[in-house]
This record gives sequence, structure tokens and C-alpha cells, in this order.
Amino acid sequence: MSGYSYGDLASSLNRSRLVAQTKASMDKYSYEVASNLKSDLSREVSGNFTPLASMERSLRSLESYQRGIGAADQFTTAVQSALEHVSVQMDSVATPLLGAGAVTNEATLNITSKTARAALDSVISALNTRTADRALFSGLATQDSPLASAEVLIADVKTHISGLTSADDIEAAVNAYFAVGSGDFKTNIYQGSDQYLNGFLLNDHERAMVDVKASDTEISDVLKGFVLGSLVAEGELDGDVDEQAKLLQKAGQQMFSAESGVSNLRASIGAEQAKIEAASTRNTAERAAAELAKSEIVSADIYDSAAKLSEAEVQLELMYTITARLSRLKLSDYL
Amino acid sequence: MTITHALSNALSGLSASSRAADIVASNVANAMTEGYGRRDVELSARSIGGNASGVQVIGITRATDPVTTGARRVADGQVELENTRIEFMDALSRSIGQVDEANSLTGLTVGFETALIEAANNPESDAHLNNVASSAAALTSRVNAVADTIAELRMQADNDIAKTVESLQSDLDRLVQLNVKIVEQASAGHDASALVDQRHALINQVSEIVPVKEVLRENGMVSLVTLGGAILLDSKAAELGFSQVPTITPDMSVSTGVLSGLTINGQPVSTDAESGAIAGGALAGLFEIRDVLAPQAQENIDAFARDLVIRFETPLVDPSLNVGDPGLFTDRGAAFDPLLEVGLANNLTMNAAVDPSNGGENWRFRDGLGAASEGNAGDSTILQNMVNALQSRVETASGGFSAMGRTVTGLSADLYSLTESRKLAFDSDLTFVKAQQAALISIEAERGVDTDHEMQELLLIEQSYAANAKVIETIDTLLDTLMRSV
Repeated sequence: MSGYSYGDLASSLNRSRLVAQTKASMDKYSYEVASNLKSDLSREVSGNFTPLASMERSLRSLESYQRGIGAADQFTTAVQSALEHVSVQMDSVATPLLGAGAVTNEATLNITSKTARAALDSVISALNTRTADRALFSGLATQDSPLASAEVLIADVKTHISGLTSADDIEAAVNAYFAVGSGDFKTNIYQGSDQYLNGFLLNDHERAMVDVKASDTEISDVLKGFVLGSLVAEGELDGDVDEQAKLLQKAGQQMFSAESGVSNLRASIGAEQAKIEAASTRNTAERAAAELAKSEIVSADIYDSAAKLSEAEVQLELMYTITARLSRLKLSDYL
Repeated sequence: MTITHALSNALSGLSASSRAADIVASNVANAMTEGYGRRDVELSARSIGGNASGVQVIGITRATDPVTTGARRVADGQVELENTRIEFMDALSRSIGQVDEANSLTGLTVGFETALIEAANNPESDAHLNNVASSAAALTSRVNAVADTIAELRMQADNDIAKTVESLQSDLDRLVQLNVKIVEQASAGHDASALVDQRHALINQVSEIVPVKEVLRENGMVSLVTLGGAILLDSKAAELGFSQVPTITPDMSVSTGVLSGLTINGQPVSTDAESGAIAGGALAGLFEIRDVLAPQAQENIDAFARDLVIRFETPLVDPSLNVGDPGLFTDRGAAFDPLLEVGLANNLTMNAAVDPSNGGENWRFRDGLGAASEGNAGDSTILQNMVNALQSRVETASGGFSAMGRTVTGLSADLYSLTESRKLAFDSDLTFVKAQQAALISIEAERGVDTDHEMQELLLIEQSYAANAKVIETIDTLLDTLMRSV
């Protein structure tokens, strides 16, 4: 009692396997169409995730760098603005001081000196500005203001020139006071650090340096001029009009010679500002490129996926029809 | 007398038809049973005393296809082996995390780098320094978590091996019993097909654990031999030996004797998944996880931890450190020791000096681990050095990585890529063996019950029964006629 037979389970197992496969494909392609992401990313990149990781890192670090650029921009703008104020004060006071050499009226000399004294206050206050709670001219010690007040400065200078009666002597003593390395200005008046700030990180390769502090020669030369100009108003060389006029003229000369130092500082800060701007543009462009590269790696081609989805749908419908037809064919129906 | 002889012949026909109907019923009832061997009645002409005397049922044959079954069992084992491997790689991969997820190993590495960049541009800010501290802590935790996952998976594998060996042993013991019963039934002349079905199903179960070759012995007994040549079942079941270990630390291995291998009848055997005594099935897969895949993964994550530690453990990054002092990342507070690299990832801790939850101060990120008090608020030297440390290309010194220079992000991506590509390789192996398995199951199923065929047989049986019944009726009429005429 044997003949040819073909097990029932064989065909039903095969059919259910094919239906399951088709449904899994449909699932995969509908996910790709709906989310626009590749469904099996690992297979698509052959297990190599280094490019994707690199794009992720670029995107996130560029975001952080852009915030750093914001801080750098704010800082350098504030520095530039303070230096501009200093320049303006110098301009307004230098000429009258230089012209004071020809003046013989003690009262006029006094007024000119008082103007210089007021300007000194204004300059020191500008140099002591803080932005985002950091001092601009203290180097690393951004927690401390760079300069003591004008009163303290003048008082300290006066102790170094007490008893001197000629403009030449006073000038020499003030020069010694402000001398780099040996002068007491840095020890007594400057409150910041000896080191410049480390610079702002603009991206992986660039930094913006802000190499200026209140103890630099360029700044102390300016202060020197204002100090020299203020001494008459503070009662020095009292009664000696000739020496007073000479002192004020020396102050004016000092101020003119300090001007180039300040312009150089402003120019170099300006160069850093340009660098910051350029870095910002470059970062933005790099970000756009990284986003594009990332999307190329992870995004699915939705047209392709949609086409495959329709194909799978058709296939599934055919499988269902075949299954229904075949299951209707049984011998027991005909007996 | 020939009339009574004819009657007895017809009766034998009836009983043969009934027996055949019984078999058809059994087959149809089991049409959906997987592993059921289609029964067939074997008939032959009966001969008593040299004279033809009707029909007899010689026996019930059970349809088998030993070659296909054997191949399918090997495929079953291989599918289980690949599944076991893939489960491990999946769990490992998920623990490390895909590189574009913020919480993955790479994501947290990038998070640490960006926190440092922002703090370097704002060294005065307490909030930014806190951010650095918390992102460093998050990165450390993730490294610990990956190492913990590996340890868990390893212990789970050891546990599963013990359970699997136990279940295999009990299956083998039951097979011995079935063997004995089948021999008894066969010798007594009964139909042992149902018992053979049971034995077939049990051997299928065994094959998923360790694929075996079924060898037919005398009287219907079978013995089982593994692909690697070990005899699991003969007249007796083999004795399998394995002892579980309560906790496994990364430094434990089979070679040091701390972890148990497998013994068969007291002899230690190789557990290699491709060529050992138990090759090709789930059990071999579990051994591979415990002894090859998990240690490999541990090696990889330890190398990552080492790379992280040595980048920061130098006075070039933090001048407040002396040579030999522990840096930002430590081995439970101590500096890196190459002899203690195994398990470094489990022991990775942030230096207490800078960990706010451990009595440390976050300004030490700015001022140095050895700083006694806060320094200049605007000093971003050390912070910038740290950014540099992460971004510079350091040659990976260990862990099976190629010795090329990588950034930290690059190393974390390579770690994940290594794991994923191993998984992909296993995946494609699985696809291959699954296709084989499906084809073989299909071929085996072709020899199963075909209800159409059974219906046709039923037609024949009906005919035969009706014909035999008619013969008996006719003989009855003949005898009646004889009786009436007497």
C-alpha cells in the first residue's frame, strides 16, 4: 500500500515561510519610507561606523566652538571699545597739554592739569571694565580688576616724587616709577596676572589671542602721560609757573609718543576680530557639510524604498491568493 | 474443506483492510504533527502449510529519510549556535550604543570633549566646570556599564551551560530508556512506531544542543555520535561533567583552571565551536561566549579605558601632577598598571580630587588635580591641554586594535564598529544556515502525511472491504444452500 505522496506540511511550511519573509520586507520598507532612515544601518555601512562618528563629533564640537566664538567676539569687542575710549581721552587732552608749554598763567595751567586728571579717572575706569564678569586687562587673573584707583596711583606717584622741584627731575622719577621690571607701578598698582590669557578656541585648529594687559608698556606709557599731566592739579611744583608749564608740555609729548602704541594694540585686536569672524564663517560652512555627509550615511532613498514596498505588497497579495486557492483543493471535497 | 478455507481467506482480507483503515486514521489524525513518521501497512500473501491462505500484515513501516534528517539536525544545531552568538553580540552592541546616540560610548566621549571646549572658553564659569565633571562621570559610568554587561553575559553563559548540560544529560538518560523499550516491543512483535516517534523528537531536541549523527543498531536501538566524534549514547548514556562558578571576574579563564571545562565520561574534551567534541550547537555557542567572545570584548573595552587613562595621566596635560601620579581617570584611585589592564574598564573611576560626589572640587579641572586652592579664574591652560589630549592621535597600545594613532572619538567608533562587524559576520552565517535548514525541513516534510494520498488509500480500503464482505456473503449463501439440501 504505497504510492506517491507529497506531505501536507511541506507545502504549508513553505508558504508560511514566504509569507513571513514578505511581511518582514514590507515592515522594513515602510519604516524606511516613514522615517527616512535606513532600517539596517549596520549592514548598509558594513559595520564601519567611523565616518558617522566623525560627522557626529564635528557637528557637536562645531556647536560648542560657535558658542566660544560668541564669547571671543564679546570679549574682543569690549577690549576694542575700552582702547577706543582711551584713544579719545588722549586726543582730547594731548594738544592742550602740548600747548601749555607757552602758557604763563598759573590758573590756566591748573585748569589744563585738572582736565588731564579727570581724563586719568576716565581712562582707568575704562581699563577696569568687566564683561561677562571677567576683567579685560588682567591677563589670567580675570577675577581681579587690573588697576587700583586713580587716587591710589597719584598718591603712590607723589611719594616717589616728594621733594623734587624741577620738571626734569619729576619726569625722570615718573619714568623710573613706570619702568618695566624695576618700577613700582607694577607691584603697587597693577593687580592682574603676569601671563596673557590663553586665547579662545575657535575650532579644532585656531585660537584667537588677546595679548594685552594693563601692565604692558603700551598702556603704562599712556598712564604715564596722564599722570605727568595731573601732577600740577595735585599741587606739585606749586608757585613755579615755568616748571609747571614745562611739566605739562612734557606730559603732552609723552601722550603723543604713546599714541602709536595704542594704535598698534587696536590693530592687532582688530586682526584677531577678523580672524574670529572668518572662523565663524568657516565653522558654519563645515557644519553644513557635516550635516549633509551625515544625512547621506543615515538617510534612506525613499523613492527606492517606496517602490520596493509596493512590490512587496503585490507579492503578499499574490501569496494570499495562491494560499487560498491551494487550500480549497482537497480530495475529500470530491468524495 | 476449501469453502471454509475461502472463508478464512476472506476474513484475513477483512482484518487486513481494518488494520489498513486504522493506519489511515492514525495518519490523518497526525497530519499536522511535526516529526510524525507516516505509517504504512506492509502486506504479503500468507502461506500456511505450503498453501496460499489469504493476506497477512507483516508489519507497520514508519517512513524515514535518515540522510535528510541527519543533515537537518546539523542545520538545527548550527542555527542555534549562530543565534547564541548573535544574542551575545546584540546585547554587547546595545550596551556600547550606536555612535549617533547621545548616550552611547561615542556620544558620551563627544559630550566630554564639547564640555571641555566650552569650559576652556569660559574657565571662570562654575556651571561649565560642573558640566565637565558630570560629562566625565557619565563617560566613566558608560565604560563601567559596558564592562558590567560583559561580566553579566559571561556569568549568564556559565549558568546556561550548567542548565543545558543537565538537560542534555536527562535527555540522554531518557533515550536509553526509550531504546530499551523499543527493543522490547520489537522483540514481542508489537508496533513500536509511537515510541520511535518519541525518540525521534527527543533526538531533535538533543541536536539543537549538540548536533548528533543517529546510527541504527541491532533490534531497533540507536547510538548517537557528535560531529566531533564523541559518543553520547550507546548501550548507556555518556556521563557529562561541568561545574558552575558563582561569580566570574574578568581575569578568570579555563586555562587558569578557575572556570570549568566539559568532561565526557571523565575525560576533558575540547569545547571549540567549530571543531571540538560538542561542535555545532547551542552548548558550543555558550562555551564560545564564556571563553572567547566575552574575553575578547573585555579586552576591547579595557583597551579603551587604558587609552583614556594614559591620555590624562601626564604632567604634560596637568602640571600639578608628578610622573606616576594617577590622572583624571584612575584604576579605583590608583595610577595605571599594565599588569592590571584586565578588568580596568570595570574599575575605571574619576579621580576623587575632582569628583564633587566624592569630596572633590570641580575647579581642579581648571587649576589641576594637585591644586590646594583655586587659582586664576581666567586660566584655561589645563582645560585646553585636556581638549588637546582628547583630540590628539595616540597609538592604541592594546586590545587587539591595530597600532595606529586615533583620537578618543575614533577609538570609541572603532570599538563599536568591531563589535558590529563581528555581528554582521554571524548574521550572514545565520542567513546561510537558516536557508539550508528551511530547505531540509521542507524535504523532510515532503515525506510526511499527505491527506489526499490517505483519502485515495481509503477508497482502495473501502473497495477491498466491500469486496471481502461480498465474498463472505457469497460463501455464507453457499453454505446455506448446502445445509438446506442436507
